[in-house]
Amino acid sequence: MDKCDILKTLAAEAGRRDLNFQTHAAVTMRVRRALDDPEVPVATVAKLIQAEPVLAARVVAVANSVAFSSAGRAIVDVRSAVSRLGFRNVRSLATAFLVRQMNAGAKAGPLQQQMATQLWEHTSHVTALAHVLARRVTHVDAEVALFAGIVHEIGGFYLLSRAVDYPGLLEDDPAGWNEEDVLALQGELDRAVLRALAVPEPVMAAMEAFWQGFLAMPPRTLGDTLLLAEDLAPVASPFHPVNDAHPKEAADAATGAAASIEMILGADTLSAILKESAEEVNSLAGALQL
Amino acid sequence: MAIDSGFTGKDFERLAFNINPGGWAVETERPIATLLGSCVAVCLYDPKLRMGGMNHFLLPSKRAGAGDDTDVVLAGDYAMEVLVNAMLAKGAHKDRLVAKAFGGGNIVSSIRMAIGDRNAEFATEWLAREGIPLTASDFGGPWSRKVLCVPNTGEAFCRRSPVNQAIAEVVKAEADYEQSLAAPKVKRVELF
Repeated sequence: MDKCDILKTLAAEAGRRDLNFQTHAAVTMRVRRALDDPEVPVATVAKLIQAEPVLAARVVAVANSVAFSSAGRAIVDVRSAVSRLGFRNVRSLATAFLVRQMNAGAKAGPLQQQMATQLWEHTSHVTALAHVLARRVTHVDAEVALFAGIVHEIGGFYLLSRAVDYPGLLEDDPAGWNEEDVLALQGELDRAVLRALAVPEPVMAAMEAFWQGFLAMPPRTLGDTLLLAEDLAPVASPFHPVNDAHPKEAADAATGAAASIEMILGADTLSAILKESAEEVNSLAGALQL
Repeated sequence: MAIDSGFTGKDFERLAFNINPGGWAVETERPIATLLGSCVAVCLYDPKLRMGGMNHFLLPSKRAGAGDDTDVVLAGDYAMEVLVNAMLAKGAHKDRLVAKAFGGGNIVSSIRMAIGDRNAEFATEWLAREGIPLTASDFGGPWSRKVLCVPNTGEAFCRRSPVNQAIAEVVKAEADYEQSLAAPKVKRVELF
């Protein structure tokens, strides 16, 4: 089977809501489901989160990141962290954790591990940038932008989690991920996984704009927020490799140094806003990568 | 400065017509599109007339010493003058114009004199020299770009694409043509 056949098979599986998650992701799924009820007590949510120590640590770390701790008081317990972040953000973090867990239980080879690490680094940077850009540039809901950032390449994580069933998939022709038909099928897989996870419609609409790829300059929508965050992310996705025939451009692109994007935004410029927000972005991205 | 039409880039792509290297267009309704490798496209907009235009150039300027028959429309200095003059001829005022510029990718070879960088620098400097504010730009990197200019709102959309087989062929043709323009002309003696 080539890349296209595998992507079609996985998208069809996901389309039947037949997501093959690892078993220990079940705890995280319980947290997400509990948070679907807006009346659920904070104490109940905190208790559920504490059953998964890494998720608990992540929730506390994000609550203490610059993006969420303008008051400056350090939080040291899960219950306070949930209160500070709010249910929507905790739900986003639980989803982020679930995404990472998709990969954890599989018999991952070194390449799969490396791609998963790179994809998570990319995702955490896009998420942190989307959160800041939403507040400072596009003025869309920053919490929704954070969630959209987390899930924007969810199909890639699912693909990595299933790579063990398709030997050679990851090793075979990395540049092939950029071919038009493969890119379209990656979008299909993302779409199918997002639907299987019942991702809300506003995020699905933003993802459609993201897959179409046209960034409005200046940006204005949630889809634009995601696209701009993707363009600015200092770590590239392993599923969108840069032309490796030219190592310098590839290296520059992987560190975000290859291109310059600039625009006037009211009395400010994009570069000035990014400079002012660098600590916030790095703090949130770092907390997500714990 | 630009008006938000509420349409997406994909909506405008369906309505747009395409310009090629050396091309330019001034419109009041129909979106204009182009595909860029190392070339640069500059979009100009007059907000009072709700009129916009776009060009697409391959080189910063006509090369000294090149033959007179060099395809001047591919040079940035010519392309910028033609576009501004076309806007002015349709009633635009230079002091109202604002610009957005895109392209200048370095996707064929890092040692090819970084033609993309030179095109981007040229566009930025030319606009600054003429006092036309550059309100948005996306230059450089190993990507091709599809750009859409919406003339009656001043909106511009840019889609970066990784270089796959199909795009590489377009970019190579662009690069070969640019190299052919740079080659010295052979003077032939005509006998009567």
